[in-house]
Order: sequence, then C-alpha cells, then structure tokens
Amino acid sequence: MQRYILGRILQLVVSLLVVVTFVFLLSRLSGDPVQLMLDVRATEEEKQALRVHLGLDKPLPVQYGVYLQGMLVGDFGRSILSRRPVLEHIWERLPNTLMLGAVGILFSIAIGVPIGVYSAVKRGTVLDHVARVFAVMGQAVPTFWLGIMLILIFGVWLAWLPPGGKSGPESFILPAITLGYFTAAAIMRLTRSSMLEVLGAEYVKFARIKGLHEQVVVWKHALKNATIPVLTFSVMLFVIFLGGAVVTETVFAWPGLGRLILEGINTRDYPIVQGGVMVFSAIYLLANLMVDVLYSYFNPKIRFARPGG
Amino acid sequence: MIVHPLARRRRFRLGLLSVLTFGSVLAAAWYPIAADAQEPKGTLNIALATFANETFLPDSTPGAEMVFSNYMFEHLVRRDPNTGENLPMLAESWQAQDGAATWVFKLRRGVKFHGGFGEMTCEDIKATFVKGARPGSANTATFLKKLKEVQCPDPYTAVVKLNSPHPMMLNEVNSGVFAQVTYINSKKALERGDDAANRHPIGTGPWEFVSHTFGDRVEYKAVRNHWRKTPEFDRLVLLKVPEAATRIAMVAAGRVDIAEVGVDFIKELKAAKVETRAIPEFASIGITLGGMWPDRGPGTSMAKLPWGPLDDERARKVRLAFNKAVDVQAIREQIFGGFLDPTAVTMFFPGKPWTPNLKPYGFDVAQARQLMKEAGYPNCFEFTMLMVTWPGRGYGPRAGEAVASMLEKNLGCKITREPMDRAIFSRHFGARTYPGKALAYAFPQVGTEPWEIWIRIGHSKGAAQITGFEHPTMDDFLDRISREADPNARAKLQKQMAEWAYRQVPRIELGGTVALFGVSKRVGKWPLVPGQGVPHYTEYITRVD
Repeated sequence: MQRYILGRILQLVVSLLVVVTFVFLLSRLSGDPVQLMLDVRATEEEKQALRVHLGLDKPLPVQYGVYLQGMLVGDFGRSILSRRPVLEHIWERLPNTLMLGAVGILFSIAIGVPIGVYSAVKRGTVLDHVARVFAVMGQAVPTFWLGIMLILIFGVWLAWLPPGGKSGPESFILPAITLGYFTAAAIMRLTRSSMLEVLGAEYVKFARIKGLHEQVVVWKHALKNATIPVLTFSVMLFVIFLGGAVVTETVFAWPGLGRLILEGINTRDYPIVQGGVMVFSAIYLLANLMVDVLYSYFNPKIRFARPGG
Repeated sequence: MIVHPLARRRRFRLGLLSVLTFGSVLAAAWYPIAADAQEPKGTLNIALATFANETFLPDSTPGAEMVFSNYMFEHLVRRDPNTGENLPMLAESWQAQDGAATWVFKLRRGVKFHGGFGEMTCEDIKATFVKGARPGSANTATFLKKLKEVQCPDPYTAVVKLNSPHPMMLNEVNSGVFAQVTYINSKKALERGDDAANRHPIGTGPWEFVSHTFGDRVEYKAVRNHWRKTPEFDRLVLLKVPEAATRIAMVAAGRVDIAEVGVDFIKELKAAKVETRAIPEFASIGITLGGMWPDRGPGTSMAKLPWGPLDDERARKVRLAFNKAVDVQAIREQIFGGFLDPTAVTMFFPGKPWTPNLKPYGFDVAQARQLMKEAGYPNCFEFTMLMVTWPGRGYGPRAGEAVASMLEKNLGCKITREPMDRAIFSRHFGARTYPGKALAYAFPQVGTEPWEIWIRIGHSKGAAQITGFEHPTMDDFLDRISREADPNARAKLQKQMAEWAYRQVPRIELGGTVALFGVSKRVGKWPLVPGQGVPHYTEYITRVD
C-alpha cells in the first residue's frame, strides 16, 4: 500500500512539473507584458529599462530556473502589475472560489439528486421526460448565456438578487446556480441511472414484499446505495468546478481565482498565471490522489493492477 | 431728474439685493468651490471595466490608472468643467519663465496629506516628479522626460526646470485632462518604499484610501472638512466588472451608482431605462491606413501601397473614395446612438474652433466609384483591417466592421478582418509594422489642443505611429507648434495644419465621440470636464436621497 501511495505521489510531482513547464512556456509565447504596462508612447529604452527591472531581460532558461527554485521554497514570485507576492493574491482569491464552488456543488446535489430519484421512480412518465429535458438543457446551455439570463431576470427585472459582485449571502445565489446547473444535470442523470439499477435489486424487492412504505423503500433503502457513485462523482465535480469557474466569475464579477488568472492572461502577468494554474493543478491532482488512495484502500484489486495485465 | 431720498434708498436696497442674489446664484452655479452642503452619508458605488495597471505609484502609471486612483490624489492644477480654463488646485498660481523651460508654482498652504503625513510642501512635488522621471518609469507625462531639476526656494514654491521649453506643462499637471497621472504624492509616504506606498497610498484628495483588493475593488472614505470639497457620500467603492452586460445590469438594478459603459451600448442602456451622463470630446474614431512612412527595415514598408504615399494623387483618390463610400450618418445612428460628431480632420474635435471652414468629405457612392476607377482600382483591392479592442473604447471593432462592410458593398473591396489585442498591437505602433493594413482605432483626447495627441502618435520621431502616415510638413507643423508659447499663434498654426491634413485625406474619418456612463437615481449633479474620459470630480456629485 505504501509503495502504491509513494508511486502515485511521484506521478503527481511529475505531472505538476509538466504543468509548470507548459504554463511557463505558454505564458511567454502570449506576448510581452512591458507593452501593456507602458503607454504606446514609451521609447524602446524605457521598455528595455522596465524589462531589466522586472528580470524579463534574462534568457528563458534562466527565468525558468529562477522560477522553479523559488517555487521549491514556496515563493511563486511577485505579480508584475501589483508587485506583491503571487501567493498573497492567491490566498486573497482562493477562498472566494472555494466558497462559490461549495455552494454550487450543494445546489447541484440538492437539485440533481431528488430530480434523479423522482425521474427513476416515475420512469416513462411526464415527470421523467421533463427531468430529462432539464438534464439535456443543463448540459447544452452555455454558462455565460445562463448567467446573463439569470442576471436579467432576477437582477434587473425582478431586482431580487444582486446582478454581480460579492457582498452578502444573497450574492452567492445567481453565480452558484449558473455554476451548478451543468453539474446538477449530470448528477441528476447519474442518480437516475444508479437508482434504476438499485430499484431492480433483490433487497429492494424484498423490502417491498415486507410491506414497507414506498417512500421508505425509495429514500431510505434504495437511495442509500444509489448515492455512493454520485457522492464520489461530486467530489471530482467540485474540483472541476474550481477550474471551470472562470466564466462564471467573469460574468458575475466574482473576485475568485479563476478571474484572477484570466486577468493575468490579459495583462501578461506571468507570475499570476503560473501561480494560479499551479494551485488549480495541485488541487486537482491531490483530489485525484485522494480518490485513488481511497479506492485502492476499499478495493485492493486496483492497487495491484498493472497496465496491460 | 430729482429723486426722492426714500426712493433712492429703496433703489439702493434693490440694487444691493440684486447684486447679492446674482452673486449667490453665481456662487451656487459654480459649486465646485461651494461650501459643504451636508454630512457625508451612504456609499457611492462605481463599476469600471478595467483598473488598467492597477498601481498607485507615480513611476508605474502610464495614464489609464487614473480611472481608479485619481479620487484620492490632487494635481497642481485643475480644469473648470464649463470653460475648460485652468484653475488653481494644489498650486495657487504659476508662472512660465525662460520661454516655458522653467515653471514656478506657488503652492497652497495648509493642505494636509491623509493619515497624518503632514502638510504638502515643495519637497513632495519634488519627490513625486523625480520618482516619475526615473529611468524606466512608466509615467508618460512628456515634461518628466525633460526634467532637469525641481528647486524648493521655500516650502511653498516649486521651481520646475526643464531641459527645453514646454508650453503645455499645465495640461500635464492637471486633473482635468485624460491620462495625466502627475498627482502629488507625499514624500514621506514614498520613502516607506514602493511596496508600502502602493499598499497604502497617501494623497491629499477628498477621498482617503481604505483598502484595495487587487483586480476586484478599491474603497475610499470621505475626508471631512477637506480644503476643497467634502464629498456628500461617506464611502466610495470602485468595483472592477469586466462584463459590460453585468455593469449595465448592476446600474439598472441600482446596485451601483455609476457604471462605465461604452457608447456602443447606448441602445442597451436606453432599453434598461438607465439614465446616462456623457463626457463629450473624449475620442476621435476612424480607420487608419497604415504604411505611409519611410522604410525602417523589415516589416515596415510595403512596395505597392494602393493608398500611399501621402503625396501621390492616385493614392489620394483612393483615400478620398474610401471616405466617400462610408455612410457616417448610418454608423452614427446604428452604432453610436447619435453620439458621434462627424469631423473633417482626425483629432480636430470639436471641429468648430479648429476647422470652422472644413466639412466632412460626405457620403457619395457614385463619386467614390469614379475616384476608384480614376485611381486604377475599379474593383478595389484586397487588404486586412485590424480590429483593435481598447479598454474604455471597445467600439473600434464594431465601427471597423461597419466601415469594412460598406467598402465591400460600395466599392467591391475584399477585406480580411483581424481581431487584435491591445497589448499585441501596441508593439506595431512603436515598430511601424502594419504597412498595408487598415486599423479601426479611437484616439483618446489627451490634451486641450489637437497637436498634443498628434505629436505623440503622428510625428516621424514619435515613439508610436497610429496616424498611418509620416510627412516632413506635418513634422514641421508639430515642431513649430510645440515651441510656440503664445496660444493664439499656436491656434493659428493648428488651423493651418488641419487644412493641410484635410487636403491630404490621411484617414477614413468618422468623428468624435463621448465617454458614456450609466447612473443610478442617487446621482444628482455631476460636473464633467469635456475630454476627461474617466470618472472624475466625484466629490462634487450631489446625493439624491
């Protein structure tokens, strides 16, 4: 087991290194931040002086080496624009993204699971068809469009909820729905198929024969087993949420990490982009590792399996 | 005529009353200096598209940063919103000496920096200008490049010595001109180091810095008993909201009080029933025709340029045909919602004072086709139009698309549209590497006289080239104007320059447009200076409860 975990950690480190290198190179290819920081009237001498000041005059391998060295000691560098440590910006923004992701996933589960259950129980009925349309729409509607529509209806026409920005608890509602609708649809489909499978199981038939009330059979006995894959899937969805929050955060002017990275890309603020992507990647890889370890703990077959054999 | 003493007294009283009433009305009308009306209350929320480079330091602010920082700082001079005249701000008076190579500013006494950083003196002016002028500084105020020294003969006199004359100095130390970031910092605050000075900036303005969340918001609080004007709102919160649709929704729902919205969203604002405030004379929009300049190496010249060189009569016919094939009125109505003043010459707007006898080239498709035939291009030709998106001036691509469609329909041109990011295109400006390409671009107003923008982006020795052409005659005009200290003589030269440029037809000219803001019902009077494209004078906004 220990060997398996060590192997997976090694894979994680290699994956992170690949991500770092890839992001470092891509961000350099996208343009020169000095062009943005200075006015168009700036002379070449002024631009060069600023490059020297920011350390951008050094060859790429040197810049890469300096960056890696810093990362090993927890130094992600300083933002080119704000000149403040990148980690400071990340800590400022990450909680907002995590909170929004958490509310979004709760919304997804709160909507997706009951609809999935009803859809399975009432299979073939109008309710089932409506639920499936809900699921298809959820996965087909673009996030930015949904966000703007919600802003228009609930923010402008009805004026019930704030159309943007992070203020009180009410400001979470629209972005969380926007973020969560796609996954609510996915969770609904997974719950439905999982429930259909469980509802046909022998122990459920036995419960019915015993004369238990149908609500107890469905919600207590069937759902308990049907939600296991749903919950596992939800953990992974939450991690995907974090990366996918860029659009939602931009539409709702949400001060999250996704928007910070996007703005970093627009302003060629390399350290911000690198640091932000690194954090997202690390969270994703760590969550993957945790799920793998838990799976292998519960199912020893996985840990001993070898590719091709 | 004999007048009864009582009647005389009554007349005197009436006269006195009239004078007092008239004086009071005048004082009320000129409210920027009026006494504080009420205790600050509530929060003024402003949604902005961008915070630009998002820094407060005088050496890292090219200009657009004033969108989020000018509230807490003050300049030496300000502009009257009604007359455009320069008025005292931190400087009570000023004088140009040595043909405008030396400027003496007499400073206001008793102006305090926020947070107990003491009284503003000449040493603060010196520290600010010296930092802004350091090598590698991003501050693009032209006088800083010429700065020799700042002398402080006494705490309230600043003598700014330059290496060469600079008649337009006052425009660069002015709060009422776009992209001027020479606001006065506290020397003591700067001495804390860049990090501290940027994290907690110190100014003398009517709003005091409270907090800054990078990329999201800046919060200020009202300065009670400010020497100039205590704001009517207690707090000022600036929110960065990149999406225009979200900004419109926020102001429509009353969640923000002022939202920066591009003029091309005027229809959406009207549909949402949002009140608007427009700052006139903000930007001059048109299509630049690149490449009319000498070869400067790889990528800078095009052997056969249908619309150049500038002096070639055949090429001039092409440029004139392009202008005549574009229905500016339709663009004015459809894209700018009426907020476009057709102009005769690029960046000479408003046209009246500068080009009174020049009229836009006019829309005439038949004549345009005839001109193209005479130039040897009966079916036009192929070229690329770069659609540059610029923060605060996002209408470039839409206007460019309209022009491209009209040239295709009316003249048969084949135009490839190429979206272009501001950062990437900035490089082309400097390197002159867009010959043969057209460019949909809006020039911002950066001074009170047209030559101030021309010299920055239209001179052959300029760091950037956005007008599309370079010519010795234009250089000569600009050099002469820049040396001329007499405003009347400068105006005369600029009129001559405009007439010359008009004859050359250098660009596809659309016109001057405004900076547009959606405002909530809580915003009352708000004095706005023409040409100043970012929210300003927020301390003078009256609160409607």
